[in-house]
Amino acid sequence: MQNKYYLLAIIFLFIFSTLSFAQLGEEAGQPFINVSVGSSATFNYLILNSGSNSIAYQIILPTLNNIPKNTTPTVLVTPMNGTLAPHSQQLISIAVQMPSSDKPYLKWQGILQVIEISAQQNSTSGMGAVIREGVAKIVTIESLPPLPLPFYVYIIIAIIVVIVIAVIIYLIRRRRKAKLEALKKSRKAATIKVKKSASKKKQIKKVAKETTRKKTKKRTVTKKTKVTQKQSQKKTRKR
Amino acid sequence: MIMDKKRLNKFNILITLVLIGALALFIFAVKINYSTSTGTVTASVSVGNVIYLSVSPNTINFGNLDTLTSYNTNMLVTDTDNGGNIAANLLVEGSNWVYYSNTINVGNTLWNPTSLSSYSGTALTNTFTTTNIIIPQPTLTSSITSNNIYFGVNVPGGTPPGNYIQTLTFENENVTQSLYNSVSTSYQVTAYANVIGTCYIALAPVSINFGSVFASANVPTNMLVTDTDNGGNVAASLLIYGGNWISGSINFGVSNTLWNPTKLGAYSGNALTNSPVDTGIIVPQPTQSAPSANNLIYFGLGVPGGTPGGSYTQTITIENSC
Repeated sequence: MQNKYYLLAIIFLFIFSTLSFAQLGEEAGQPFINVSVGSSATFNYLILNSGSNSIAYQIILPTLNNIPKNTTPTVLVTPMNGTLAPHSQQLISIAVQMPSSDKPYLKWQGILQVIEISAQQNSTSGMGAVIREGVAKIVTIESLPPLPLPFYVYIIIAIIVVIVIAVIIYLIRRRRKAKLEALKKSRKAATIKVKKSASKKKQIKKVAKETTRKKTKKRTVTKKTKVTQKQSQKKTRKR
Repeated sequence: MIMDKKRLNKFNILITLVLIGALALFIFAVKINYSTSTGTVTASVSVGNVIYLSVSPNTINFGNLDTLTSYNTNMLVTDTDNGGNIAANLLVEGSNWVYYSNTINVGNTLWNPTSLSSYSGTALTNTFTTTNIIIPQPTLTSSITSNNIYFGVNVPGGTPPGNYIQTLTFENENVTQSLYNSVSTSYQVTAYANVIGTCYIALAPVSINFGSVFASANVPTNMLVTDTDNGGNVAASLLIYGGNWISGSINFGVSNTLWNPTKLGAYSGNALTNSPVDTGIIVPQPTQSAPSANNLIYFGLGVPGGTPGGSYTQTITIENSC
């Protein structure tokens, strides 16, 4: 009799366990994410619960390989944990940020894991291993050349360059003009000086001439006077 | 001359009077013939019974669906009789869902007269079903009448991924009058559903007891764990890794656990690592005929010499990747 009840209990337990279960799954497709250096990109996929019980889960971020002289891209995943309700889906978003200092056409790879957090940790006596379930994505990231700037940025840059060149040319021209003016002024001053000195020279010459003429006159007068004196002396002597 | 003219004028007047008189007589005679006497004319016309049918929208899209997930029975289609004059019963049939050579049975589409917040209702068939959804009789004051029908869909486990199409066909019928809709502007609706690829994981058992093992002893690689995909539709790779064996503050290395795709009679195989590795074991793609697929992995344990006595525990993580 007791065996019958025991068997019945096992049967019910079996039926119940098959009716009540949780099953973690994921949408197919391995992420291959191309990211331009200095920018970011996103990949989305679904995780699912096809069972009638909730599933608590947590995300383990991928550990990417290291490439010398390049910075490993940053991987952000949302959400990082949660609970999947029965017969439900959850969107997992993988965002990759590529450093601007990295070279293009490099590849990184790592495994993104969604692990079921089991409330029941089966304790075993002796040597016991607890088995965790999960789903995983092999994430491959490739760097691409930097994105071209939007065309309007090029226009703005061109305008700025034109303005800068125009300002430089303007400044150069102004400087030249100022130099020219200064030169003109100095030339003018020099001309006046020359004129002045020329007129001074003239004056000096005039004065010199005058002086010479006076001297000459004086000599002449003196000579005449001498001659006259001599003549008068002669006359006197003759008398 | 003047006298002649006068005579001529008189003659003209006379002729004119005669003509007017004749015309008057003629009109009078005609009027007599078409008598205004009153009578009764009976007009009659026979207006037949007619049913018209127009359905909208012409297409319905269930979006992205995964296997084992259902679309609730709330996708609306409206059946309209625009200008008929008798009530009609809505009939509906459908084709199988098709994507190349892959099909989903028509019965996975359900219909219901009202919108439901779950996947339930009556299964569609590939022959006309009388829904008992009545399109009311149009009247002179309300010449357009309509009624609604709702659809839901389920994707069976193992259905290959792809963009599936189903055709829904409608008829309006008045049984009493033995009449079907005579003129239809549209009577077919195309349904779309994109089945995405998915893989699931269900492990059994969820713990392994290697029992009591002495230091320097080992357990052959024959402890079985089964990895099952119930209802997915793509194959999956099995990845595995683990942690150290721990007992309080004492631990010994993860690599003392070995794994192998096949059962071994000795302690041999691949050393477990503390980061995920692809085992090369593939959980096959489930199919509609076999919606549950699995594969096996075996474990063995070697306890290093000098390991202190105690109960040790290790966590092993098994992941499906698709």
